[in-house]
Amino acid sequence: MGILTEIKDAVVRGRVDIKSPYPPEMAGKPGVVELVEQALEEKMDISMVLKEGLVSGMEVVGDKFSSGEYFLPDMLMSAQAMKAGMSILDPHLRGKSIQKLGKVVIGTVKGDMHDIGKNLVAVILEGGGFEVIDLGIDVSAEAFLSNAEEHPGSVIGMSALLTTTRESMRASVELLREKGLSNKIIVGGAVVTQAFADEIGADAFTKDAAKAVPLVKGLLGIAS
Amino acid sequence: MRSKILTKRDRYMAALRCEEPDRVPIVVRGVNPMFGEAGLPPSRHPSFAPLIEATAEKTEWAYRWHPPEENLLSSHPEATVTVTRRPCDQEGFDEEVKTFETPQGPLETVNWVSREGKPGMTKNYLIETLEDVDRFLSIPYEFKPLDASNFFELRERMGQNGVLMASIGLDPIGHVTHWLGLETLALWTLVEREAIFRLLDEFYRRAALLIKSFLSAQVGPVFATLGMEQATPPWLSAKDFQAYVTEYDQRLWAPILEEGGVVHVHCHGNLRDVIPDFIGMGAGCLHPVEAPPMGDIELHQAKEMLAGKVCIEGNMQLDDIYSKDEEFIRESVRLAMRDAAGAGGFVLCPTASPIPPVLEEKVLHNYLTFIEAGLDYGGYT
Ligand code: B12
Repeated sequence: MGILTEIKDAVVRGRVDIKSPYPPEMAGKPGVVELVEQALEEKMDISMVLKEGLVSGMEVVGDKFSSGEYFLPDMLMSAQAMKAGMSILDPHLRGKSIQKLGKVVIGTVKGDMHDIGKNLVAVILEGGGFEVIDLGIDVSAEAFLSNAEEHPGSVIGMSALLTTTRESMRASVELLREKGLSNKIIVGGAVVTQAFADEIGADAFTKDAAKAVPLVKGLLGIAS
Repeated sequence: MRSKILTKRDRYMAALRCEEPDRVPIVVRGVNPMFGEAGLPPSRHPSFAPLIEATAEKTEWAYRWHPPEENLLSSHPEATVTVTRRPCDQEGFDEEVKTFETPQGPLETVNWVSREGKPGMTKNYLIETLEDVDRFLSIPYEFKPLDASNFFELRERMGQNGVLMASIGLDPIGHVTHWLGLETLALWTLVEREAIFRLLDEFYRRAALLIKSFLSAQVGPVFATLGMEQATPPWLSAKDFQAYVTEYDQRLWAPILEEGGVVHVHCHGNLRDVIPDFIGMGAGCLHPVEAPPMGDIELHQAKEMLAGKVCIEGNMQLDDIYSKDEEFIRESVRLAMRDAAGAGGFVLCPTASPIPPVLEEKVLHNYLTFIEAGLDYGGYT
């Protein structure tokens, strides 16, 4: 098995490093940390390590979660393995043309205190290689606006769990559009549907946190 | 039984016991005519008045009585918790720091609490490491004897209008997740399972003491609980649900069932794969049994699995009450009755409480339609 496939496999199986007790059947075997270090020593192309190793591993994880084969623990463990790999790549990425995949500013809209789903999406996006700025809960339209201005080119993620706060989502999207900001917007949360996302002019929607990674990539024009 | 008109209390009790009453009981979750009375949560916004009135007059009342100490925290004199508040970045909120003194050093949790009574959120969970688990478990635990006099007072006031439930609060996994957070719970499920079981064992022990004291104080016969929704698919697998919920709650509820009591369970999430567990655990009633896309089981499928074993309380989606029209609400109620009312064991109820603060005119109208449709379609003739 080539090193990139090994990295991908370690991400899929949530193997962080050689010391990790998880998964038990891989005890003593190298994890993402050692494999990424090895790839760097072997002078592998860094963008290949990122895309074909780490990111493509997380894509498999996302699919397994969507199909019901994986549950939250598996997904979070893989995200940890991915993050551990990213932290080794980070210093090598700096100063080169290859950067992290992009930036996502995420928050739960005004009046809404539900944050479990939003946090999960944030963790998965981080695991998928994005830099995530989490604005927390009860985020006003103005706060989305100022953050969109501060981070040009970022994708704005909004979460709403209540029928009543869907209207805050609408207002936030409208404000960004009104002010002429070109940031792409992705929305989600229990009461949001594709039809509603279309109605308010959001660029993407998903019910499935795992799908957020390919969708955000699509919005940023990054090929999978 | 059909020829006799039952009292609201008997009607609700019959359904909870999976029997067929004279008509399907209607419970408007979160709207209670007894709100605002001494010792109960503050009254809702005046816009709720017509709904409270209709609920009082036409529906079965359901109210959960909470014992004075419902968090299963220690009453031991050395188990001190200090609470301090400081301003934070979040508008309208304060940062509340709770420090638990333990023989092995302090533990701290930080929450955002609203100055206007809105729900808050946890910034830092109390338990983040294995050392924190040891610290938490080193707190000497003492159970405070229960004062249940308030229960009997409230039950007296409720009279034949409905059922006053004794709340046992969160189940063991609900408590564990409360202090640990869903993320740590998920990760520890793979790498530190033992720590989760140590915490579950402790909360089981405390909850068992609470239930024992409930039973000896003769509160009941309906006991309400929640918390296991943190461990349902797709977050945790059915296998983990069995290890964290079934194993514990079944033992916990056994003394209630032995005394002929009924356990009322509130659990969102995807229930399809864990319904057999709820049956095995001896759940008496399951709320809200959400249909797709919120849940993963249609009402008629749930009925097939639960009929004669567990009462279904549900499953009018709150989103529909807020966003659909009168015709849709009536039709949803009709279909719910068609799919779940057969042979009893069904209570018509929304999936959640109304959203504060104001009840808009349209939503009020839909709620009233929901009640009227429930009366129109709910008869067992
Ligand atoms: C947990 C919970 C709470 C907790 C919140 C704790 C917290 N820190 O978040 C508490 C108890 C505080 C709470 C309070 C209330 N809640 Co609540 N709550 C829930 C519950 C049971 C689960 C939500 C959850 O965390 N799910 C798990 C996460 C992972 O799923 P999720 O949030 O849907 O996220 C997934 C996707 O939607 C998506 N996603 C989410 N956000 C985003 C964002 C982006 C950008 C993307 C791409 C994707 C995405 O990805 C996630 C993973 O796949 C739901 C029921 C349900 N079935 O959803 C009700 C529910 C959301 N609550 C509801 C209500 C009404 C309330 C209250 C008004 C009180 C009440 N009456 O019950 C208050 C309101 C508080 C407020 N102002 O916000 C209703 C809303 C109904 C409606 N249509 O408006 C629901 C739907 C229950 C119901 N079926 O009726 N609640």
